[in-house]
Parts: sequence; structure tokens; C-alpha cells
Amino acid sequence: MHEMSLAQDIVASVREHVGTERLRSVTKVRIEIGAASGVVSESLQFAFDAIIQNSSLSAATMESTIIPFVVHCYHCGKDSQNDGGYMLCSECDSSDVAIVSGAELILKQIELKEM
Amino acid sequence: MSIITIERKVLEKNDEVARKAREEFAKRRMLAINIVSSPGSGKTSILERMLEYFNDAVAVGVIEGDVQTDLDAQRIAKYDVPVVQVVTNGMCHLEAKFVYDSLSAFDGKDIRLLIIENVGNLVCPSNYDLGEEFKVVVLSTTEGDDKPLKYPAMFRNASVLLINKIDLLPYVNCNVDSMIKNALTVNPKLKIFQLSCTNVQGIAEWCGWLEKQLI
Ligand SMILES: Nc1nc2c(ncn2[C@@H]2O[C@H](COP(=O)(O)OP(=O)(O)O)[C@@H](O)[C@H]2O)c(=O)[nH]1
Ligand SMILES: [Mg+2]
Ligand SMILES: [Zn+2]
Repeated sequence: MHEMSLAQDIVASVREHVGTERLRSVTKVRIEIGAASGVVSESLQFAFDAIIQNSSLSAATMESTIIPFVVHCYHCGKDSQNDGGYMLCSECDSSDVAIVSGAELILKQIELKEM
Repeated sequence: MSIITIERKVLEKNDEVARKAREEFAKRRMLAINIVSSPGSGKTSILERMLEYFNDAVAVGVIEGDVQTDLDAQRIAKYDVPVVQVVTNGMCHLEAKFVYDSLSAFDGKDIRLLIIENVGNLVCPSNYDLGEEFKVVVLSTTEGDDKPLKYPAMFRNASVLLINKIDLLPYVNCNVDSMIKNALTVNPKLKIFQLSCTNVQGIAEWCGWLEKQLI
């Protein structure tokens, strides 16, 4: 399961952005999980919680939003969603498409309470 | 309350190293491919057949990724090509830094084709760019024709699908046509070859195509 290394990367990024002194005031870590990223939200949550336990980040919770998989079609010009993560336009069946969203894991925001 | 907005890919750091590796490949005029599959689909066997095919005609280098042991690197060492074994110690995928750090082993060897055998896993390696030119996913006839639909990320991120163990078709319940159809549903641009490592069917076609991609 690569969720453990992903969670470690998330925690490392949080540390980097917040700085050691303010880590204890982190309340939320917001991430976006692409529906077709292959990342399992529950596993990531589990790994994140395990890593921050007994650390200066232990008060933080991870909040994840699933982002639908959307492709843009160069043939008909429309954007369409499919849950399978297929490189196909759901409108016209063309394969001349590019991914708009839903394939990545993104660290969105960190929320801190004022000290 | 205060909010820090980051809006960055979690794998940004890996992608950065992958970019550096990609630059290095270009500088060395080396085509790098990243072979992925479940354990046992036949990655190492295909690699062996490829080394036999290319023999002295193409200078090949190999990076072997494994969770434990250097058994695969030992298999490859018989072919007298430079091979680096990366043991991930439990990690289910290779990351770009493993590849980048291995490159010095190929210094001065004028390698044209770098073949990276990833850790056997049909899920995790799909997220990690190693700097390769493209990913090659191997699916064997014993795994079932529904796998592209069950593991779409891997098939979407690959450019080539090698359907391996076609010599076993008479014995297994696998419909190659529907395997191909399912793969193309996920990724219509996939280039597909059917292979057998036991009777080398399809190996020449696959290697011939690959040779044309060399830079
Ligand atoms: N019948 C048959 N067996 C194969 C073929 N390719 C590989 N195998 C066998 O499948 C097993 C796993 O192969 P290996 O190359 O180690 O797979 P890897 O884990 O993906 O590297 C070995 O016992 C191989 O001999 C093939 O084309 N046909
Ligand atoms: Mg192997
Ligand atoms: Zn369309």
C-alpha cells in the first residue's frame, strides 16, 4: 500500500509549510483525492492518523474530498465525467481527450488555530 | 484561525526528481521504459527474452526493483549487461530517486535502452513517474481479462500493454479479445502486443517496435 508513503509525504509537506513552532496549532489538513488516482481514502486516513499519533501534529485531522474524474474532449469540445477513470469522452465516445481533474492527490490547505 | 493554501500535488517532490532523471536520459540519449505488472505476470521473463533478442545489437541497461532479494538481478546478470538492483525494503513501488541515484552505474557505458522492472504491484507504481519515456504494463492470460477495468490507473498511465503467456490460452479461461477491448476502454491509445516467453511468440514484434523508438 503506497498510502503510507503518501501520508508521509503529506506530513512532511505540512511540516515544511508550517514550521516546527506552529505544528501544534494545526487543526486541519485538507486534501483532494482524485477519483481515478488509485489512492484509497480510508487507507490514507489510517496511515495519516498512525503517523501523527504522539507527534506535535497529533491534534490535526485530515479532511479529504473526492474529485470526480473529468476529461476534456477535443472532438466535441465537451467536458465529461466517468467514474472508471477511462480516457474516453462520455458524450461522443472519442478517445481524443485530456484529463481535466480526478487523477491526482493534492494537498490543498492547512488550517491553524491562532495561538 | 488561519489558513495556508498550498494546492500542490503530494507527489511533487517525486515528479521533480523524475524531471531531472528525464533530462539525464535525454542527455545520454537513453530510452528509459518502466515495466509494471502484478507479481508473476512475467516481467523478468520478458526482460530475459528482450536481452536475448537485442543481444549485442542494442546496448541495454537494467534497473531491477524488488521488495526483497536480488534474485531477479541474478537472473539478468547472466546476460552480461549492466544491472542495478534496487531493494525497496517493503515499499510497494519504485520512486524516481531510486532510478536517479542508480544512473551513475551506467556512466561511460553508452546505454541506448534502459529497462526498469518495477516492483510487482498493479496499483501503486502507477502514481510514480520515474522519468521514463513510457510505462509498459504486462498482463498475463492467467490473470483474467477483466483486470484493465479493475486497475484502470495502471492501464491509463501506460503506453504499451504486453499480453503475456499466450501459450497458456488453451488451458485458461481468458478471452484475449475482451482483455484487449477492456484495455482499450480505459486507454484507447494503448499499443498492444501478445507474447509468450516460453515459445518467444511476439517477442520479435515487440522488440522490433521498441527498437524504432530508440533515440
Ligand atoms: N507458460 C508461460 N509461463 C511464463 C511466461 N512468462 C513467464 N512465465 C512464468 O511465470 C512465472 C513468473 O515469471 P517472472 O518473469 O518471474 O514474473 P515477474 O514477477 O513479473 O517478474 C515464472 O515461473 C515464469 O517461468 C509465458 O509466456 N508462458
Ligand atoms: Mg520479476
Ligand atoms: Zn466528445
